[in-house]
Amino acid sequence: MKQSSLAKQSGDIAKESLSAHRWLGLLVSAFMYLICLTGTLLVFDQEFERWEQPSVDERLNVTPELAARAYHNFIQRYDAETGHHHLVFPGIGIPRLVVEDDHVAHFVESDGSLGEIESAPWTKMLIDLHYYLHLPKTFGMIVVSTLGAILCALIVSGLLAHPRIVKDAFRFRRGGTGMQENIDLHNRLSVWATPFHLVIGITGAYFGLASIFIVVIATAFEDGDTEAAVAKIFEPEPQLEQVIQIANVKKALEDIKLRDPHGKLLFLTVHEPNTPKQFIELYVQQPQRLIYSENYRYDSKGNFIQKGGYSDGETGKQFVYSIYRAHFGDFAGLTSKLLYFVLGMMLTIVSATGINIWLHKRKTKDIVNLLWPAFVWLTPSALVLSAILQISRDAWVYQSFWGALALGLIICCKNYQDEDKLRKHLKFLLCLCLVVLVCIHTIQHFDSVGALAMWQVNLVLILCAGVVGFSGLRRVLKP
Amino acid sequence: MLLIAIFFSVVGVCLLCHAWKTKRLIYTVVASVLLLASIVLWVPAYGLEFALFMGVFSLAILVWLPITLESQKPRAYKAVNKATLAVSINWRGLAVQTSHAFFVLFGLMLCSSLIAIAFVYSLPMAEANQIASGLILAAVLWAVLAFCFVLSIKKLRCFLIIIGVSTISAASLFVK
Repeated sequence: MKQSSLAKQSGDIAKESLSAHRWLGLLVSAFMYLICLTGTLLVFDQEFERWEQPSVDERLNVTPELAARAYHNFIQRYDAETGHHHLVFPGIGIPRLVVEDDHVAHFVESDGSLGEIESAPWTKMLIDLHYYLHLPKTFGMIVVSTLGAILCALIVSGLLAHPRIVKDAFRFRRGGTGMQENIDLHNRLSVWATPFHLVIGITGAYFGLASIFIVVIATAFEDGDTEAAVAKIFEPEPQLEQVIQIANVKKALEDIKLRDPHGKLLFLTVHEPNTPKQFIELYVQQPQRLIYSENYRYDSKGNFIQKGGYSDGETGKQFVYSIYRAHFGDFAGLTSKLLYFVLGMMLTIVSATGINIWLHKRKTKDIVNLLWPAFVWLTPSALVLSAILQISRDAWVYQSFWGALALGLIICCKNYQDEDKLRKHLKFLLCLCLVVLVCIHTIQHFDSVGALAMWQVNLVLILCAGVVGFSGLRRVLKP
Repeated sequence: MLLIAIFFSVVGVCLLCHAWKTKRLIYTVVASVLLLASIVLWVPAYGLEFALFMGVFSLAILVWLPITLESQKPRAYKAVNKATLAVSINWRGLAVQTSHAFFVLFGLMLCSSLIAIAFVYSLPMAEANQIASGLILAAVLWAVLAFCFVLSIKKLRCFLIIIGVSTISAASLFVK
């Protein structure tokens, strides 16, 4: 008796959790899919940046002399007011030296002279879409971070809604009407990747929560001084009063080689250049540590002042400074990137199949049955189309993405009745767009056809086109 | 070492699948030991922090090996012909749902932040640790409150409780 009442109670919880899971899922569905898809692609943001400008000179080793020469050349050419000067050092993802201020960035040639201006508008569009959904930055960041929290809520409700979680742990029914396949795919992918989804959800929510935390802590404990609130985690800027001079970056770079010989230099920033407060900050990645970097500060003359203490400071400080790399997966080279890419793709599939299941379970059909598959398959096509227009016309990268998506949705809803046919056609469209993109990119950058920066991405794009095309073809051949 | 770690993970997930099929505890125990050992074996190559991430996350991918091998083709069901309906909008319902959505997305963000900050600042820890714990707690609390709010039948009561706790938290932070 007691057992049956317990079973009924657990059944009720599962039923109600499923209803909450459905409501939350529907609430964020399209945005969640966009964020997951763009986040997955952004695991390879450095590779995309390289691909957009494949002809740039590449090298992994930079001497302090070369970096200093590039810095001097840059400040001689650009004397506009700026808050920072940066030297971005080459890494495996993007083996190029870049010198920049708040307005313009240049690649550096092997003799230290300024090369091509850095410009990766399509990658920037992708980053803006993932970070802000192309909304105004502060508001967009908050909206995107709400999706992180909702992802956590979906995990909790999803687990509670799944009473057969152990019984079905390895169950996967392929084919059929597609309903069972979608359910099993959704459940298996989400249950087994729960730790990854939680990390992404919590770290994703952090980016919006941080701004609220700063305001609340500043108001409650620091008389509204937000800088004092930030300084509780991030080392405050040193208060210097020096004679104005050009920052001695060479001396700082020589010192860091001795001070942190095992670290990998990420970038150098000259804060508040041409002011008495000017100081140099070096961001050095620590081997086998998740923290973004350890930071070293130097005065204008290149004399060491202080360390940020992110590698050996309080645990909380280390934790907060680790969030970025834990979210984006850029911590163990290509291995972690590939791992995050596959897991990110899985999360994207989970967000798409969730709505597929809801659509399958409905007793009636309406326009949403066409809108959803159209949105899922048109989004990557719209991204590819915006890349094609950017490469061929050098314009409209933001407008072309949203324009293609909106126009595509209207066309699909007006001209199709059958979802399967729609899916098949959209897969072919994506395949075609990918092939066109590779062709146009190759023609536009024919001089760099042998460059790794070019073919490593183009090869993957062709592979994707093959997979998507084959998947569409399979649907045609299927009886 | 890395290859051994991957080998242990693969054998571990396959054994786990076998344990699931045969319902034998001994396989579950051996599989768990192997999976734990595989995470330990990631450490020399990547260090403790990365090893934990790589070891745990890679399971989500490796598990598809036994899942695919075990996959079955279900009976072919007849496709159900569903009646097609024009979209009709219930404006009142839409307004209620939108207000719930705004509360879940933005209201709860503020409420969970206030509750989390008030709670962690009462803990005996260094301030940086309080903030870091608060950030995790706020995200988790936000998710849990969102779930509870959506789940509750008496939404107004749930809303008032959350607002009440947030107000008490805010008072403990701002009232000197």
